[in-house]
Amino acid sequence: MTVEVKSVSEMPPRQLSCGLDFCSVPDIRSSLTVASEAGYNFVCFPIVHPRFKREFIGGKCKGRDGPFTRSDLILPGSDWNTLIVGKISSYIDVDCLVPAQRKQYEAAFIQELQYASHLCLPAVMVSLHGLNITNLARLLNNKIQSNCSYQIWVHVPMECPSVGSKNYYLNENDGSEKEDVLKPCTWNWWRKFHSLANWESKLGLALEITSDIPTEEEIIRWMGEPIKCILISTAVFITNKSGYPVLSRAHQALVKTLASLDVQVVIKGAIRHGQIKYYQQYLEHLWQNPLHSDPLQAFARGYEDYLQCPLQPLMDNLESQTYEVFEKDPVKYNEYQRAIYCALLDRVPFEEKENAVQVVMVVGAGRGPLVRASLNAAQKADRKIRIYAVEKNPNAVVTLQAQQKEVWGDQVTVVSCDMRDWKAPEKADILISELLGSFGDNELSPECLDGAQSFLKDDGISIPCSYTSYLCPVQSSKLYSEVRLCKEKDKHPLHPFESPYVVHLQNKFQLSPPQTLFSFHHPNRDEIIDNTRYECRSYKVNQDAVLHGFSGYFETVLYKNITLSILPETYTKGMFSWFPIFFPIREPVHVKGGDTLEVHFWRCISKKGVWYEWCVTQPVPGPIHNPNGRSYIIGL
Amino acid sequence: MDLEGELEPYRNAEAYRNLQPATLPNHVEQHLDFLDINDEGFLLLGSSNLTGRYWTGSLWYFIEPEAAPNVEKCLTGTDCESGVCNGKFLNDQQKVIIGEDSGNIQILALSEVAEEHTFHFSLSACACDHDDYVCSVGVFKGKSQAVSGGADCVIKVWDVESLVAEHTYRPAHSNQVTSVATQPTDGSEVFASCSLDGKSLLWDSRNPKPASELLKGTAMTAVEWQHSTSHVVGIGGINGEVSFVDIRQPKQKISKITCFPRSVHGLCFDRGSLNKLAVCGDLEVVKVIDCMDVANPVVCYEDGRHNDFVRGLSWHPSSNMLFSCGWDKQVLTHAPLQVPEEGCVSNMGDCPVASSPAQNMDINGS
Repeated sequence: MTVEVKSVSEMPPRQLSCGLDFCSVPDIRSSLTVASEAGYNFVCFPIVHPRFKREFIGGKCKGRDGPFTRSDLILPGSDWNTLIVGKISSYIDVDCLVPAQRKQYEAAFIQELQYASHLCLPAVMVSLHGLNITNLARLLNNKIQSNCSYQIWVHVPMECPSVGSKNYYLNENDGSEKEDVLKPCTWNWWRKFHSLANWESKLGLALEITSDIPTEEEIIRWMGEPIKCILISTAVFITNKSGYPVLSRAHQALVKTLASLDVQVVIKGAIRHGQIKYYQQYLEHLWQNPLHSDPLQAFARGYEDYLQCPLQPLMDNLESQTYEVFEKDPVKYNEYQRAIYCALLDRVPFEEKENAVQVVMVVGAGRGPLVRASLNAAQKADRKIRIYAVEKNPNAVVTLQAQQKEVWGDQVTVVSCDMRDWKAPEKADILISELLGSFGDNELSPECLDGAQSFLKDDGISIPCSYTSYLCPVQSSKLYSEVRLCKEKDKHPLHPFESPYVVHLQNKFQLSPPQTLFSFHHPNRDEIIDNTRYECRSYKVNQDAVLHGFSGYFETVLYKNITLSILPETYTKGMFSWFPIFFPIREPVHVKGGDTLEVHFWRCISKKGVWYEWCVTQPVPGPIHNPNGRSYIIGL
Repeated sequence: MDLEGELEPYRNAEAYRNLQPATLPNHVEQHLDFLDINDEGFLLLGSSNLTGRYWTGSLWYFIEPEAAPNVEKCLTGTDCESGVCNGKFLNDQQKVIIGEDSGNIQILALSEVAEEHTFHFSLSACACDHDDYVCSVGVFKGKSQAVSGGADCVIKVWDVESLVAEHTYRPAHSNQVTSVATQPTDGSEVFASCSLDGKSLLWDSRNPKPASELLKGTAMTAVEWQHSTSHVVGIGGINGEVSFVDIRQPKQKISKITCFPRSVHGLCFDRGSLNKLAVCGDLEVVKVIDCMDVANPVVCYEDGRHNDFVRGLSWHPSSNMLFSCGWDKQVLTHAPLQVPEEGCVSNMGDCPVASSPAQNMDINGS
């Protein structure tokens, strides 16, 4: 159980936020009017005229009279700080190798940023042109550290322009630099920049969709980046039969994929298809026809990449609203009901159905959905059952008792007790529980069921009968920077990096397919029950990437072939009770395509509780996270 | 206006916002971005307003080049929607091509109003196909083609009659195309380009693989073709250097010379066989390089009369005078061929028209 209850009621359909880029703005007020009349939500304007160079160091021109750009008075403050993304002049290269020129550029860069700050612009856009971006990263990080008011949108094209320009070369070896021997990859520009600038959350990626679309693999990797907006040049659009601008199928698919990350769009370039408003109208159309809409997407809207602390239902009593949310899952309880139905049929042959009464114990009955599922299953199977509904939350017990009295009758016995302490009057044929967390065992299902199995008949069955957690290395700088913000007073300073989070992962890239981690079976007939675990997993990394943590999932077998899964590959369609879990790491690890990534994971137990420890040992060894459960422990 | 009473201070911002500045007719903008002199000695001047409320531009035609930028003495002029970065006379001397901040390319024709004996610019064609400002335009000698390079990394070859793009190289470079220069003599469609990506390329648009590398290095800002030999190009960079490359032996410099402690902005070879290359950069200085021996270029003239960045350079076809314009709203003349004895800095041009800078200010100048 994972979802934090917070206005889960219907979220409105996703709205397109579309901006219009202007390369020149002769009259700022009329440009704003043009954009807004064509349906755009915001604009990108140069902060200073893009050709207006200034002298900062010395000489006659340093004392140039007059303003360096237009006055803030031209627009009301609210326009500046809600409608306008400021563009840094594109000639400015603060990593220029000519020292005198670099100083000029640095000063111009700072001047433009300061003016953006003065205008309270919501965001500033800078462009990357290669790997030579160290000083740019430093300057911007300095601004962020001194609490700049604006976000920084870093413009990166999906495909390196030098690839396109080389198509025109007579001699293909012309213009090849050493670093170009491999195909230049703009993702590496961004990774380097983002890493140098300390993965700050004020840095967003403004990804330009190019005419050439990179490989599927590369697109998936971009999906792990904090994309704030996508830029689409009007030159990328093609003309349909009626003369309107549309995107090719491949571009449509790409844009829709990116749209699932809730990105904004900026249209740039000359008007090539009659009117500028057609581009916005076309995108609006794309937004209204999303790639896929399933109940999970609808349910989870608003929760994308939102970090939540996992619930601890054993330590804390859940609230009524929380129960209410989980009871709404249309799929999970149907599967439980099916499992109970099959179990009843298996245990009671047709001939005995009139006499045999199966004892069903629902442990952790909550407000009774599994009691209801059991009653339904028994009726469908035409088998007799007697139910004990065991619940430790005294508040939920009220609900159970009310239903017992008014609906269920004598067939159900409500027991207000912790299942581990209960002295059952008889033994059960079927033990039913829903104690699984996003990582399977992380809500201490093993410990609870080990306690409860003492009142299960020797041939009795447990639903679920087994579960397995899965672990997958992921790149998601967005989550990483969110985690970093989770600092809490009175907690260990590393606490945010040593706690798992439940999160509806969207903005992520899987470095390698998930692998199984810990498995548990019930009932556990081992002579000595040991729920500690220690596993090591090796992942083959396909392409250059950055490791920010591990996503966790689980699969469970309820009964025989009836399963539930939140693993992306085997996801139980339509189910929304669980979001994945995310285990962060302290420092991002840069990995190369072909590298082996090795991770160690422990499940540790003490009298107080259960916790995980984890560490990365390859390609480079890192520290052990959460030693002794100092930052995160699941109370017993 | 003056009698309406004083403006209440709290409405200061509002008053500025709603101010409708009187449209000034015949107004040359502050920032003179380029000039070009045609074979008949007529001068085309482009100006932009790069700061302030409106970032517009205008274009001016002077019969007497020395009269620029005095609008009273112009033949005609016209306003442009955005700033004008670069412009050239076409082979038809009555027509000009300009590149604007908006990415527009325009062909304007000088036409005469018969009854009034006045001239004015009329728009013969306009194409908006660059996605960013146009940095540079070039005209192929004796042909009806022109080339443009923009901050959008694109180079386009245009038919100037129809203004249809015959070739579009997108992207031609991996950063701004700062300059394009056409082969000046043989009437081919060969041109050179350079870019902030640190490359200078040689293009032949007849070829399906049109580009080859001329030079690679630091970010480049200006390229210009020597008229006398037609196989040497000068390339200016942000490091203030001008390099010379023989297109028959590309990828190596014949020679180089450091002109400025700032970025080079413009280069202009004389049209005869003087082998003089005028250079301007992101400062107030104009220099002329003597390239008679291109392996050993030397600075033969230097002038610092401008008060702001010098942007435009052009040689007069007959008098061998050099004209320069800049963001100080001045057009100055230089006579670099009449070098004072020691060949040292000439602070005052030897040309009489330049002796009084005030004379060169236009009526709206301040």
